[in-house]
Amino acid sequence: MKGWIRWKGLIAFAVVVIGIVLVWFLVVDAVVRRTIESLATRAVGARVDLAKADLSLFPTGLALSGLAVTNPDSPMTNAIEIGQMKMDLDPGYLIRRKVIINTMQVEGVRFNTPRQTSGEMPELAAKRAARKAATMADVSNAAVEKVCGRFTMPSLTKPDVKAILAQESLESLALANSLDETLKAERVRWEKELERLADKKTLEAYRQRIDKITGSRSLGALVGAAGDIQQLQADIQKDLNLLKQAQRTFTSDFKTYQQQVRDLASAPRQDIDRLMNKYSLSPTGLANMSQLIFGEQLCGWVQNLAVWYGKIEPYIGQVPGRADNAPQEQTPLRGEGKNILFPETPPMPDFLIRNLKVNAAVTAGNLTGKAENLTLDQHILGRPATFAFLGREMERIDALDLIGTADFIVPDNPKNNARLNIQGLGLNNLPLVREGSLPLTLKQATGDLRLNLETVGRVLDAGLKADFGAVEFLSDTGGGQTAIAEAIQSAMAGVDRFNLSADIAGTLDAYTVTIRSDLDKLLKSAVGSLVKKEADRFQAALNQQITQRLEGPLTQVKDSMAGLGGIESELAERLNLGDDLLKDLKLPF
Amino acid sequence: MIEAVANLLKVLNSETEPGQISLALCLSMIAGLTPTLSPHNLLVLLLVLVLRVNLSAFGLGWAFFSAVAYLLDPLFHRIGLAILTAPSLTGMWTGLYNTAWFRLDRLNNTVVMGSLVFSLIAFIPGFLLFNLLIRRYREHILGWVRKTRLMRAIQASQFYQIYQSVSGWRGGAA
Repeated sequence: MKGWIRWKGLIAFAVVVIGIVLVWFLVVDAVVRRTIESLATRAVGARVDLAKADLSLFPTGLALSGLAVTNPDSPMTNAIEIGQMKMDLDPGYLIRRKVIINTMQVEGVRFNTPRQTSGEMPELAAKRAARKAATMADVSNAAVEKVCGRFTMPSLTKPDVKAILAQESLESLALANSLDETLKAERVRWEKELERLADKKTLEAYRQRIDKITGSRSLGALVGAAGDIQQLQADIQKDLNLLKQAQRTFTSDFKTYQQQVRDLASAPRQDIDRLMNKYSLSPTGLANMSQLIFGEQLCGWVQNLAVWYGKIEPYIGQVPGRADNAPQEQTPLRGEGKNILFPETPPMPDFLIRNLKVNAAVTAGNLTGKAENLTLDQHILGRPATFAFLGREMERIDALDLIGTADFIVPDNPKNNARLNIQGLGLNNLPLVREGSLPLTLKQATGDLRLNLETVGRVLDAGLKADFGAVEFLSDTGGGQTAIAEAIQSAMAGVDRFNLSADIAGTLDAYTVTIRSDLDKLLKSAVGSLVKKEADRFQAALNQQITQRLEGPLTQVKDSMAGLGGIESELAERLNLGDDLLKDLKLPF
Repeated sequence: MIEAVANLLKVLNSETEPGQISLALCLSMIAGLTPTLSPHNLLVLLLVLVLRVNLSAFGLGWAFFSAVAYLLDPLFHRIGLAILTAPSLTGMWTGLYNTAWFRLDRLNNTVVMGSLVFSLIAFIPGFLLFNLLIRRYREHILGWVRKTRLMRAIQASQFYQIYQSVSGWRGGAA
């Protein structure tokens, strides 16, 4: 047995192992750095630089320095730059090929920093451009309009009724013409129907047959003619039945047409209401001015949130389908076999950041925060992700608190909530209404804002409350404005503080934004009477013009209706004649 | 390539114990058929270095079996899949799956598991077969090979010069 053992081999083995470890130590940092750069560059579609990576075994951790991610849309700018990232990895799970980061500290996060060299990767940029058919802004604008509708400011100029009616089609006019054509067609149809039914000539022929039979005075002759009388009665009765049926149908149709003619009288009212809503600032519309002023901006923000949530949600909510204890197959690359997955105790996701601490420099100032249980497989971890960010003495914000939970434990029914409190928020030159009739910009305002947001599944429920002071609105119509626009401008110019509350409810795909503000009351009291007066004047002018236009078609409808009334008289006359015939034709026994 | 064939002939024609060559080939079978960077191959390397097996035979065998492994991957996948998904073994695999070494060695992979089981099962029969073949070669073929015209021609060629240059190497310990 001694001859089979080569003890020097142990030394050789030790040398080989030490050699491997040495090589690993020498190259691993460079390999990690290159790998991160390569994978991230491919994922982003633009250059990602990493100055240094340091992988340590005892304690197991990874430190990354100088991470710069190029903005693919602006290659001379970094979308994000991170000074230092330190990760404390769980070695036990790393052996099991799971990246479990116990603590992760991110320092020196900055956004939109300039680059010295372009970070564009032409081959990746081409692929990215092909994928990106519509820009985020396009998607967002289109989506805002689709979900929230258009926030159109009613015209404040004095409307020209004749010009409006020249370009607008009137429902009432179309209805009158259509009804007139129908009545005329009905008249033609019933005239043909009358030709098919027994007419006066036919009934006169019956009369002659009766006279012939009843002309004989002898009882014997009458008894002999009993059969003829019965036959005649049956013939008359048959025609009378047809006439009665036609009369019933006609009466029913005639009543329907009478109702349509009556409805026609109220059709102009609907036209007037529609045109009033479209072309005039009604007192009702004035009561909801804050919806028009702030709606587009608010809905845009909510829609941006919904779009980003929609992009992230599929990754967080995905389930590979290993609910039971049965082994699951993972399809690998060709020639590499398949990884069979078994239930783990305790279940652990492939990637998890247990504690994340962030120190970020955003445009408004420094933001510090922490997050826990960050993973794409919450259904495995069984705990929701939580986050809390804090900002103090920022550029335009005195204090900011954001806390929330993202619960994807049940991927089909995610529950998320966030609470944002901002104190001393300074707003400058925020465009609110872009339309020419009353362009409005919030030149400056300082206030507090509280937002509560909750989603359960696809259901969205959010509430926003804000109080602003030191307010200055700016509205420049460029001259030529109406009295109403002037009054609104004047009222807004006097506003130095206002409050705002918004309720957002519905689903992430279709929600409503309801906005209330004390500005509504202010505007109503400032220009309400003026608006009402203008609206009444516009309504009267519309009424007059539409009535005038409808006069001719309405007369035609009435004539056609009268023509149809002649059919009714004719049917009644024939039925009376028929009834008389039957009365005269009775057997003497 | 010529050097490799010369090496093989040298090993076979040397005084090295057939068992040392066979064991080297069987160990190379594990290292070659299973993925090279699998941690269990460190244990194979330790055995190769500590046991007095022929290193040249191990090196040649490793190269040979690594090439063969690519052809046998579909077979290994099927074997591994059958073993890992066998309902009667699910409990055992689930327990092992939760251990670090099982995951480190990627034994839940069908090709890794299939190739390892295949090479372990083939180890003893392979050892006996290689032993038998080496003995038969030395008894019956070696003498005849040396007498053939072809071998004589080879002896006069560059190939034989190379063969001669390595024939001084020590067998066994290599």
